[in-house]
Amino acid sequence: MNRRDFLKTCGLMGLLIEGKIAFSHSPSEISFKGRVPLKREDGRPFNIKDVKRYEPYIFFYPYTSTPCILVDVGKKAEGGIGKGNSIVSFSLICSHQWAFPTPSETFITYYGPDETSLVDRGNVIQCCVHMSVFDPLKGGEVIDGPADYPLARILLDTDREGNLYAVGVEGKDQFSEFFQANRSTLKRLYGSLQKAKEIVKESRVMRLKYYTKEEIKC
Amino acid sequence: MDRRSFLKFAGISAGLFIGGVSFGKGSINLPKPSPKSPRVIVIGAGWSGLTVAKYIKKGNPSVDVVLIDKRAHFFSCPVSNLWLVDIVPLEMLVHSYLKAADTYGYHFLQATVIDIDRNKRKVYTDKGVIDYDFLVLAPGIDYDYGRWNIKDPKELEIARTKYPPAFIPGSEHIYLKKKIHNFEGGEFVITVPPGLDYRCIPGPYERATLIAWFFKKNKVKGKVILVDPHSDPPVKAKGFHYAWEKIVNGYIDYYPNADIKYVDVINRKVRTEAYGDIDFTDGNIYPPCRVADIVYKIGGVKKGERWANIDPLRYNLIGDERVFVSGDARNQPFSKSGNTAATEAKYIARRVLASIAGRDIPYKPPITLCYSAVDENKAVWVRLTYKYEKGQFSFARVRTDENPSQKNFKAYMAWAKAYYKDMLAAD
Repeated sequence: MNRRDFLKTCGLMGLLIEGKIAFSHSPSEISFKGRVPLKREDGRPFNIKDVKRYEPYIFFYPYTSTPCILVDVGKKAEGGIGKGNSIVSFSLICSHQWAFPTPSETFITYYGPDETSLVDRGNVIQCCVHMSVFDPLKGGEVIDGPADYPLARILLDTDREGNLYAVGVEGKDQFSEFFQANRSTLKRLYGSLQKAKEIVKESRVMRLKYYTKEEIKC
Repeated sequence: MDRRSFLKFAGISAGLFIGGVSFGKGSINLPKPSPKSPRVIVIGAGWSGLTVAKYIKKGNPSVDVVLIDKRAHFFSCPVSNLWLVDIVPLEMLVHSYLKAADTYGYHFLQATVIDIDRNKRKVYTDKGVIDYDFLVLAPGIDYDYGRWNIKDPKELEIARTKYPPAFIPGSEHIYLKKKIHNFEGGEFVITVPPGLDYRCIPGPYERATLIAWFFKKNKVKGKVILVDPHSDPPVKAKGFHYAWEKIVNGYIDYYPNADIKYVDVINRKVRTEAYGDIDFTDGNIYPPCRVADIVYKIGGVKKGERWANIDPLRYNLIGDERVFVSGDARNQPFSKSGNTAATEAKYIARRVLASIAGRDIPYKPPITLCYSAVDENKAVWVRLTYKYEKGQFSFARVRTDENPSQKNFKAYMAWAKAYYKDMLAAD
């Protein structure tokens, strides 16, 4: 599946699951609930065993156009799942000014433990647009930079077979600001804002480096 | 009366003429969220004022926020060097104030501020008088030609009109662009102000590099003469030197440690201690800077100083808890740049809201992130964070990438566009 098909699939999957979602206005609480199965690119369930350590993956949740990162950070992380509680997921919309990955490039991405970042350590999520750095080990909290809020955390769950589900968004999400700030880009990518705002009923997971042509690091 | 109606009304209101300046008669009555809503007036709709206005309103929608600027439209000083040489279009830099005001729910008043009565808490404009509960002054800079002995009124007029510094957005930039594009050959001089308290520390170096690139690209038989009181560019020196040697070699001459004593704008000479008189055919004379006049006028500058006399952590004018000064008008030793102003402005917005609520908040220093292009698709950057200890500011962390690259250029464009979206609700 190429990037274009991936986006198209996400768009087609965007159907509201009535009765299964709830919104909250408090930034410290769960701001969205909705159980959505994560799928491999071939359509089979995305299993916890499919997650390669330190490899960032992307999927879209809860909306067709709102990207999330999923990564095994290799050590116990706040809110992590899996054997070592090391698999975490965050909304990959920078909480500062809503930068996000597009098929052509991404300025926000995960830096592995052996990479350097603006805070002299790896295992961080960093956005090079205005250089905010987030800690995936500590619930996406801001380590450095102009961001005022942590990355919103995507709550994950597994079934008995280890298949992964996104089940909610915790913390202050940036969705309304994201839609407002990026409306022209979203219209270009999804055809209309309405399509960009459709809620997904399942979401395909792919490696971030295959989704975007260029990961811009700083 | 809604904002649109008000603006229409303000535009046709008659003026009085008192003491050599005219101001609109009568009070400006803007609707408030509720009769008891406190009103914050923000003067100056640059990177600081726009951000302060947005985040006060966002932080507490019941506060009435009025943003005042004499300009009708926003024109970005950051990135403008790229527009001067046709790397980016004008549409990237110019945005609507009304759209920002409509999107974020505050009032925009296009007016010239004439005076401020801090005792009565009134702002006098050419459109009328308006009351405030709290005031944020974000008027930016003005030019201090006197420090280079340009004092004669005729010389001052020539300096401002024929050789505009183009670090205050608008017509100065337009005229400079015309000069660059019409330049047929010779020496195009660019001066750098001394010290570090001028607007956009790397700005003159980026501009010099890009004009040299433009001359080279268009085979202009001329070169840029960069006259600099510093021994080297204070930031990104390696990146600029790389560009001067590898990208625009032969199109730029650098004169460091040039203690500029005087610029003879009539005979076109820059008088320096180190090099004597440097002749020029045309140029861009950027003199030392100082705070905009309105801050002097309200007694906000200490004698012999050039920047607002404010509490370094709380940003209020010393002795006045209701008047704050933000952006390049400040006196703290931060880089005077858009990114610094915008990050600082979010803190000032929170501080104003805290003052309204009668509480305090912890200090948070700004962040400087500054990109400079060296040609049409390569850039370098520097990032500075600050800390305040024992009554002194210092750098907490300094990061820089001085290797000109396309990825930095892409980040530069993304950086600017994201700010225009945040401040101005730009598409």
